[in-house]
Amino acid sequence: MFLNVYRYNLKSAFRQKIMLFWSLAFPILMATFFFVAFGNIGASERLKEPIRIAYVGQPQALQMVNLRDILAQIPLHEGSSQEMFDIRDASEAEARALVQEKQVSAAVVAGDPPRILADKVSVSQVVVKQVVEQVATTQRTIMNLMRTDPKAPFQEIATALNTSQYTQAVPVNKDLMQPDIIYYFALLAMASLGASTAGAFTIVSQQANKSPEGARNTVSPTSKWSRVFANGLSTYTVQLATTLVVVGYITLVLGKSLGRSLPELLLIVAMGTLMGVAMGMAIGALSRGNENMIVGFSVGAYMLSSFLGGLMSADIQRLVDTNLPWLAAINPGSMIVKALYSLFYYGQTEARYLLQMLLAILVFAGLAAISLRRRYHDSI
Amino acid sequence: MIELTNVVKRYGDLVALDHFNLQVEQGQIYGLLGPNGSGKSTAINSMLALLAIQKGEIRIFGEPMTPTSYHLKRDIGLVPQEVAVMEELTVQENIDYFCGLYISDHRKRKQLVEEAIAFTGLDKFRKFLPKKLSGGLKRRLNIACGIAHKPRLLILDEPTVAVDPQSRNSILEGIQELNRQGTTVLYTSHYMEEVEQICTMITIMDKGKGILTGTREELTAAVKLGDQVSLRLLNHTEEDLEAIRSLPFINRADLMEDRLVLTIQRGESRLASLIHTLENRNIAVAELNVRQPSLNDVFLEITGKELRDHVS
Repeated sequence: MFLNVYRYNLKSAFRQKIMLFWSLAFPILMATFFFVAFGNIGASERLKEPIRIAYVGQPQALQMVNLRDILAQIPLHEGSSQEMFDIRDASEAEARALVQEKQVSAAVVAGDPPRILADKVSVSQVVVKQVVEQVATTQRTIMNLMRTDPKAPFQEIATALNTSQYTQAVPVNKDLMQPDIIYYFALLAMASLGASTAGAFTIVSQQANKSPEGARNTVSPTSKWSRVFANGLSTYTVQLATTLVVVGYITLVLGKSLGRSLPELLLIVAMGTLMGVAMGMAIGALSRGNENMIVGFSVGAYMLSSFLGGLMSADIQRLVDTNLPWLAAINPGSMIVKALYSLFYYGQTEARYLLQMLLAILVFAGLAAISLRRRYHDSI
Repeated sequence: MIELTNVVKRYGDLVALDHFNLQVEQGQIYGLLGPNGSGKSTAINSMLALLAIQKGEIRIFGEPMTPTSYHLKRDIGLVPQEVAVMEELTVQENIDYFCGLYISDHRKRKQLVEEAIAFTGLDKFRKFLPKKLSGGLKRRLNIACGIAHKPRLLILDEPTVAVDPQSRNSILEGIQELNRQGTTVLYTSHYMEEVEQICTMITIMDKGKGILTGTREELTAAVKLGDQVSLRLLNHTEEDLEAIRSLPFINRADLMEDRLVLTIQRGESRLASLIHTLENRNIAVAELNVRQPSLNDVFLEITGKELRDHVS
């Protein structure tokens, strides 16, 4: 009888088009949207080819270092054999013409301070400006030191002023992920938690006071616990399967790497989905009113939980964590978000997040069981 | 088979069942007749241990009925007022699912499902989803889901609401056939014609109370309603009418245009005397009809209101 309930509820759930849309089609559409919208976030951080610039030298100017030499030595990016700047020497008039004809992105005019000629703001020009400014600042600092202390160890000072040697972006997560992956993680968190609506339906279909088929189920000789457990399990199976399809779509179809900790990610998704189903079942069991009201409650709880967990606005998560830490500790949305985000940032999730989720599952299941324990109904 | 003794069920201040008594014997088609809101569905939900009652005792098959009386539930079939099926399962799957709550043996269940499909005439629609069925076919599916496991006791709560006359007749014939096969039936309705047609015992309910119980004949006899004899007279005088009214077996005589409506105890047996009187007074009669009192007349007599007034 357990298998009968499980089998037919599984079949029924897989045929519920609205439910499938929200748990499968919608996340896939969103993932596709993210892919199209944010697909080049990581790639755009690196220059693909050297920036063409014109260089106007002014030999009469006092220079401790030759700006042209410095610009010519900067690599395109770390480890690259190509240089960042493709330099073309020119007079100032020629340089202006080259800039206007867009043959170069900008022109650098040596001097104190050096000047940059450009006709519009672009990424390339910002890069030129940053590099030239750093060289000029270093040069000026050393010049000032020479005036006040001619015996100072200039080579060491020059080295010390090269801040890039001290600050280097080293990812905590050895398995460096592209920045856009965090959006897919948020999507998986929402898809997992979205199982709550299906969980609420589970109770509606098994309770005599919540639906006609619930009444028919209740008067049968199959025990309430057997029916509710079988139905809940079928709901979980469907919801987990759809979320795994979304994971598969992101990794296999869109080709996005969700990191080397995929088993850990799948564990979080599996627990998050179970937490969503359990939350929906608790809402369904505790709520009074008809099916529409119960679905309304579960959708509302899901949205609120996601909102407070920062799935709609990252600032909210920070505000809740700072001002209402107890709320963050009991909010299912926060739990799954933190578990997934720690995986993103650190390459592994903390055990406490998994324990929190496990505890939440037990609490929700307990609440549902206590409410369902009631043997008679006051009204139908 | 069903025994309700002094059952009281309240919804807040509203008394839905007021010391309600009911005794259904094996083999009966027992009708609970009453207007909407009279307490019929509450009585059914109470006897199925779905509702908490405030007072009284409920016994099914001689044993107290509780939500965990699974051994009793095994022999009960329910056809609820609303169509209670799973919208995403086909006709055959629905019947198999609900039958599977009672019968675990797959082979036996398969046979029972086929029998239920055949019995309700749903063979051509077995692969249909409920939303593709007409109202009448949905009702038949509702019944099939309730009878597939061959219950000893079948409870039908207004199974013909919003059903076309043809499907209604088919449903009523089916219920009678099930009864012939040995199923005891408890049938609720606010359609008196249905109850009159199929029920062997009837309880009329109003405001949560069972106000009268008996066979159809016993009910009409209990309220001392006579048969209605309607005469279309071609000629008559006031004296003729007075003479008819003064006949000892005439309870009541009303003249409506050219039609004289008489209420007569045991009307058919008094017809000869009435016709004899009419002939003696040379009154020509163009038409004569005799109608036995209906359950609606009974209800009107004991509550002062018509059953039909309450039909929504």
